[in-house]
Amino acid sequence: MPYSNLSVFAPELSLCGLAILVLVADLIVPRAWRRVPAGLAAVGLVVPLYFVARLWPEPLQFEFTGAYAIDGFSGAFKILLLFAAFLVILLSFDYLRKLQRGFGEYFALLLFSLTGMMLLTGAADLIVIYLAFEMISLSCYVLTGYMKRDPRSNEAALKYFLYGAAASGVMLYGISLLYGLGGSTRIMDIAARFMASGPTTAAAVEPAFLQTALVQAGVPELYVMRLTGLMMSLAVVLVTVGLGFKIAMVPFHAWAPDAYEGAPTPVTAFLSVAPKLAGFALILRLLLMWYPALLLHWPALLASLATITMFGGNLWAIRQTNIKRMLAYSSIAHAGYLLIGVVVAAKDLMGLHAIIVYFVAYLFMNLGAFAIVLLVARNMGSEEISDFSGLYHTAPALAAVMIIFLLSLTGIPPTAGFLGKLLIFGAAIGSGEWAWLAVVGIINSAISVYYYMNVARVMYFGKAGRQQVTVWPVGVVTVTVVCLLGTLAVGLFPQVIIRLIQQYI
Amino acid sequence: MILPPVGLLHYLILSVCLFSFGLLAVITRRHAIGILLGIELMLNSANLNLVAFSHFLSPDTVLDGQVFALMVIALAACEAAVGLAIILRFYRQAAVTDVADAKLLKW
Repeated sequence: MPYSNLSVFAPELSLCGLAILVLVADLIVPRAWRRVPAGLAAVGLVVPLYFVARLWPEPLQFEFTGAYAIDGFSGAFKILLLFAAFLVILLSFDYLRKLQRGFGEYFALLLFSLTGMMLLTGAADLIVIYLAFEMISLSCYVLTGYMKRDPRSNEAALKYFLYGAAASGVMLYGISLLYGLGGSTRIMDIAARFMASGPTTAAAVEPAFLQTALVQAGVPELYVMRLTGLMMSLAVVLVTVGLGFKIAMVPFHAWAPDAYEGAPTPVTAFLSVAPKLAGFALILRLLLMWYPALLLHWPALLASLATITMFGGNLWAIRQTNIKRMLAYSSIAHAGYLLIGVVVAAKDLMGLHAIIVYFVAYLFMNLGAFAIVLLVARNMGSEEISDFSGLYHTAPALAAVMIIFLLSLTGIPPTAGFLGKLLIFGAAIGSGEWAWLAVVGIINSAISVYYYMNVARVMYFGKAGRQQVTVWPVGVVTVTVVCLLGTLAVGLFPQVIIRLIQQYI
Repeated sequence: MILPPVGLLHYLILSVCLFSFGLLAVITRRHAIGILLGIELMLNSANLNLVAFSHFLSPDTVLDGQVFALMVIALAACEAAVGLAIILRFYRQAAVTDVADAKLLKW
């Protein structure tokens, strides 16, 4: 019997337990105390964090007969996910104040979706991948439509659901083909099958090859080769579609702006960071395990997708008047920059490190920007860019902080965004083969200056409205400060984070 | 006339057909429930694949594919529950289930 160690699931199990605890506590405590379970959700995240740190592995470790991997990079992604969830919970308190019912369920759903994401970062089995994928999606659909009385929230949920369910159906078909071609659901065994040798997991058995089965069924051998080749390409393309949907890659991004605009703003902040983290973790896992045996042409495919993702995101962002929608397109563009790192990571570990640094930066600057959007929307009543008009006169500190986040999103020193972009583009140039992607990325950063700085222009030179910023919810302000410090710290002391990543991953 | 035994290839062809019909329904249907049905068709075509591969390719003691199919069936039920709730909510608000009428959020 192969050795299975339940303790590797400690972070996910404790997180799931926390979610259930929050759900039950919300039922028990009186309405006046309804913030207690929600606070519990935020504080309780320490437990999974502790387990992630304790489980910090030797190089790469497979558990549950190869179905689940723990390694440095999944650990890093888990920490980032927990941190993002913590900040989003802080952002949510004030936004949900008017909610009549379902205050605690919101946080429980957030934690359940987070559990799925944590699972996905370590998933090394097709079944686990699909389960985690759906666990994330189902909770996120509900969270998007959480404001039941708001027609826009409902519409956003409807669109997100229809696109998402179709994408997961498409991906599942690709996964089923991969299962047939690889003869196993463990991604390591599938890789071994395609390399004809190499390590297999304990659960590996010797199934008949698809090819032999088809030949026995009377299909001419020439056609068998073509057929399996076709199935292979189809499977890779279909899985790419599913992943592309999750990380909002153009041309599978159509859901993102609608879902981002209609969803409650804290959920938008969550959607723009957390599913992306999980999706990229999975893409990296597949690439590291399956390149070059299975995914020889994947980097080229991803490179072309990265190009259109960057251009699409940035060009569509220019014409937006709603700040949430603009940030949605901006997050699509950032997925494009991150894809450059993925393309490079196929051959060079630099790409992987750059992606993690970029995600640290992205987490701080994007959540920070959303925190300010929340603050402004709370005081002005809507989320149009015109609401930022004259913010410099009414709330100079807020405007200044927003400028720092915008500079970071653009990638201008001395901010975290600059470091992220520097490392990603540097890795691309270093790889030689993909240097042109860095050029595309730099052109796109130049385009993005236009719409980010447009917000700055509106804040500084626009006419101030009559409304003043008078309400400063504690949670949102805390997140703003944390994100500001993070953005500046990563930007000013890059060697600290780079050394940490090189040491532990 | 003696028909040849049903083999792996037949299942694969059937599942490709099912998948294509599902995808076609998702693309062409304008009714939200119709799209949901198309998605279910896609999931079931993948199930057919999984079970057929598992039956024809792996030894009888290994049931990975069958287990996977069971998981997919359970998740399809969850997805339908969440999806119908969302569609119902949308219907209450907009009084239509035609997705072409979902146009508060555009571009």
